[in-house]
Amino acid sequence: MSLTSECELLECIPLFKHVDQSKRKLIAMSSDRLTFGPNEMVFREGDPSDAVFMMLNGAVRVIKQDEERSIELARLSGGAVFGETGVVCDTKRSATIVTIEETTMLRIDSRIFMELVEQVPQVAVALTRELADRIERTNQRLLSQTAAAG
Amino acid sequence: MILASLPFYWMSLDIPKRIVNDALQGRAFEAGATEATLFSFSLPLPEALGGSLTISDGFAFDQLGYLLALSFLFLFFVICNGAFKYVINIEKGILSERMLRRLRFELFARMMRFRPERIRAVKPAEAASMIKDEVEPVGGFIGDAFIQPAFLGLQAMTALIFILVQSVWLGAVALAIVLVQAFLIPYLRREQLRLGRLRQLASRKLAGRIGEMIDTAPMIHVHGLKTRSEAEIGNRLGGLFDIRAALYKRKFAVKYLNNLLAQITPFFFYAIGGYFALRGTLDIGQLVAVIAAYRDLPPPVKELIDWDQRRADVQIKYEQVITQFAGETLLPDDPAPDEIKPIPANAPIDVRNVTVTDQRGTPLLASATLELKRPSHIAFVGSSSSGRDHLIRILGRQTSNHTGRVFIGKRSVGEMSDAEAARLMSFVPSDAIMFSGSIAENVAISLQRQPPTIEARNRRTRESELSGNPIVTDEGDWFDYRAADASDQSELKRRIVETLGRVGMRDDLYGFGMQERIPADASDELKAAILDARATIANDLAASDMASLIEPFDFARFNDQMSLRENLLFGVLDENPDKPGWVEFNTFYQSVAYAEALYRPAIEMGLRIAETAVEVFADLPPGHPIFERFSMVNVDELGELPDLIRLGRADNGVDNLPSEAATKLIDLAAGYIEPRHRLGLITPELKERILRARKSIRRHLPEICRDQIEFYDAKHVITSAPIRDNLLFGRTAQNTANAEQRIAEFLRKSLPKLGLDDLIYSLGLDYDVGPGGRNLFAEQRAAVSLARSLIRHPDMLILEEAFSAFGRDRKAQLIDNIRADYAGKTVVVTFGADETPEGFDQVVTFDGPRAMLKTDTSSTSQSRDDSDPDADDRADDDLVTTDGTEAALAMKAETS
Repeated sequence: MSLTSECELLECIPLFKHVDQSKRKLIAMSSDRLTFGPNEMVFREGDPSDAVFMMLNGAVRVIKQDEERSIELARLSGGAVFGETGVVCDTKRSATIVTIEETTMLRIDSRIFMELVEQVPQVAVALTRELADRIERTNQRLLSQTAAAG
Repeated sequence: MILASLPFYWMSLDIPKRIVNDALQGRAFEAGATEATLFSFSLPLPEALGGSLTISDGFAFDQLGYLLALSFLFLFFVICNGAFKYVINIEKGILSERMLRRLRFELFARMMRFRPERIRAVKPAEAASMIKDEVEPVGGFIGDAFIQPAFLGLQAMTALIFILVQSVWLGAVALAIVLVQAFLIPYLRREQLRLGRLRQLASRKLAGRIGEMIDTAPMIHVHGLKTRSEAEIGNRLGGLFDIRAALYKRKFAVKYLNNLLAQITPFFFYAIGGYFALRGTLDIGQLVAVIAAYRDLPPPVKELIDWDQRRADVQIKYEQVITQFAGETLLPDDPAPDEIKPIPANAPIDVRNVTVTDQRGTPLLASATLELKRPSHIAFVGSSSSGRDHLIRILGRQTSNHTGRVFIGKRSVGEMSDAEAARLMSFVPSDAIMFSGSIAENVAISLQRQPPTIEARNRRTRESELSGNPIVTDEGDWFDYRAADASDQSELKRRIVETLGRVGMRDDLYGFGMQERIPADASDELKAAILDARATIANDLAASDMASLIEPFDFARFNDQMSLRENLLFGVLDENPDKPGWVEFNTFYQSVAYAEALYRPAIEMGLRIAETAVEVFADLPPGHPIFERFSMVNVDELGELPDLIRLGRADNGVDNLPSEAATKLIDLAAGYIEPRHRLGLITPELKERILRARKSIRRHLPEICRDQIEFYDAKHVITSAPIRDNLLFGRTAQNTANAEQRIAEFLRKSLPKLGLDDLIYSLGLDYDVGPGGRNLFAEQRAAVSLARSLIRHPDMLILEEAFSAFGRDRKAQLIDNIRADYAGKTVVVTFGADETPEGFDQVVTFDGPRAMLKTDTSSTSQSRDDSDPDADDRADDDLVTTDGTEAALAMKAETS
């Protein structure tokens, strides 16, 4: 897979949908393309947030460790971005990510990601929009749960 | 020297007269004498002592010999005059340079004593230009200031007196002409100078207006203002023409007058002098000598006039420069090291009625009054817009623009000299300041406070003394090893590594070390140790599940993790164009590329890389860290790429490329690594061709080019390659998940056992941080800045937002580390309004401009004075008011 095809895949990721082609190339160029085998751990809950991951293909499980057991919170597939909240808020990993099948991702170092956010306004705007969308979705879910409970 | 030169000058004027009168006209040979005596000297004495004392009887000459002797004597005095001028000019030049050096140094030294707010207002480029360029004519003039008028004035006076001695009338004429020159010409020149300045101003305004019109051209077109704009520029050009015409008139009028005065004087000499000569009151020799003396008169007078004008110009320039550096707001000068009285470690910080206001008078810090115990750990909590930043900056001597007083013990913080303050405290700002150089240099610069002893005085030290400069130079060992608990360089290096480890940079240092080359002066033992380590690492990796993470250097295989050039050469190229064999190597390299059909693919790759670089990096600022790290091109070359692309993409462009453009494109391709750059440019066919070319290069490399390449060889250390390549003898697979981290972890565990980890850290210290630290990430820069202060163990550490580049967890960890290291010393740290510092002895909270102190005697810090019997009586977490007698005071805060 070349840089051009990575950029095409990045275009499908909502976070980078409105970012120029040249800036998507910059993001891809600033990243490492990594291939994980099935059942490989990408990172563990509690690890330092040292990178943002952009899934090009494959699938992963998001697992939260409870006191006694592991709870699968979600499954993510190609086009998903994860790890950015921990990087931006400088918190530790809130969940463990394990691959389900062979998965290719772009990994961008947290320090480079933050430099991109600082230096490339389009990336900062896209990130802000994505985070705001998530808050909005969470609010909507809370509202509907409250309504259902009431 | 000038006075000594005058008799020689006089003689050079007098001898021509004697040549004409005595030798040519034969006055020395009157009354039929065939010989005349020359060089006879006698000393007149009173009659009682014998009348006179003959020193030399002289030498007898016939008329021709007499003429030749006088002529050679004249030549001797001419040579002496020249020699005097030479020596005086040299001395004058040296004096000028010495004074220029003194002036520059004093300006720099004075600027270094500016108070913080004043130095922040200084524009670096302006100050540098002032010290470098603007004082140059001032310093240069200092040599002329006294010598020139003395030398020229006395020379002119000698010539004038000589003329007067020959003839009072001719002397009076010469004096009158000189007076006219001395007063009229400068007067006319003043107007010329005024017009010159006017021309400069008018030209500058014209240029500004043209620039403005170019900027506003669209608006001019929209509103049809072209005619009006043209009329304005025409009018300005007309004004400029008038000034220039007036200037020309004045300039040539002065020239005309000068020439006229110079020419008219000989007229008087010929007419009046000739009249006296005919009447017999002046002999021909005297007339010739007067004319010769007058020829020497105008140049000194003219030069004196020029000197006066230069003096006026230089005075203006001097005053302009001095205005910028004048003022009383200076820090005290550094006393001698043994005169600095240490401030006791328990002397409290006493802040009394300290107020900072903005330009409108609004208080930013309002009447803060508090006494902070030392040693203690103090937290300043508040938002960045509160008084927090103002007070910590006052404490750290970063601003002195306040009312009220801040004392540590008996010393006012603002009145301490740098040397005194640096001995007591260290301030770490939020913005890490980095210098070009290595990490070690950036950390240890804070220790360079111990001037080396001067072994022997030499010409340079004497010259420094004469110029008022320090006699000690920056060369030599300036390190204050004791402050870092070290005794020599190698121990200091260990302390730097330890300190960087305390601020969380140990792993970074390790990574940097791995990228560095083996030291050029590496011993054979070290090389043997590296080869042993290479073998051990290869065995250990083979026995683990990590063997597949390394792609080894194998002559028979294309290595995906290596650049195209590395693959082609299977070694490291020494890119020093001055090395013998460089030209031959390039010719050979290109011929191999042609022979193996690599030329066209390399050009095509270069074009693709150039296009990508232009697309991705074109609008990033030059020197941007992302550009530096990921671009395949140098920042200087980015501007050339569009032209290269245009040439290469033209019809038959590849075939018609100029050789320089082709070389640049091939160079771009040479740095390409497929898994890293991922442009999909490496095909299996290309790999095959490169492997063929690799064999050709190895087989046919000319003898003269042997030193250009250091081939990868499993049995030898590759001194041109990074130590990581030497240890792994291969490259980490960049596209395998976590390969880099796993291999790094593996090496970190293996190398201590192999005795090489000290070498890696030491090499890491040599990593170049780049201009302004651009080769480091923000948090690495902040860590280096922290380490710079920590390494010299000051009594008081002041941290103003020094952790802003770090994440929350790392900040907390760093503060814990620093507080543990600073038990028994004073640390002042800022926290945000939403943060709750734990375990600090004293917490000052800031609410807008108001400050409030909270003392926590239950803290874990050792800052408490356990011998204080009243300590237990003080309330934990208590607020104490200013009117109490307690050591800890709350502060009164007032807003006006």
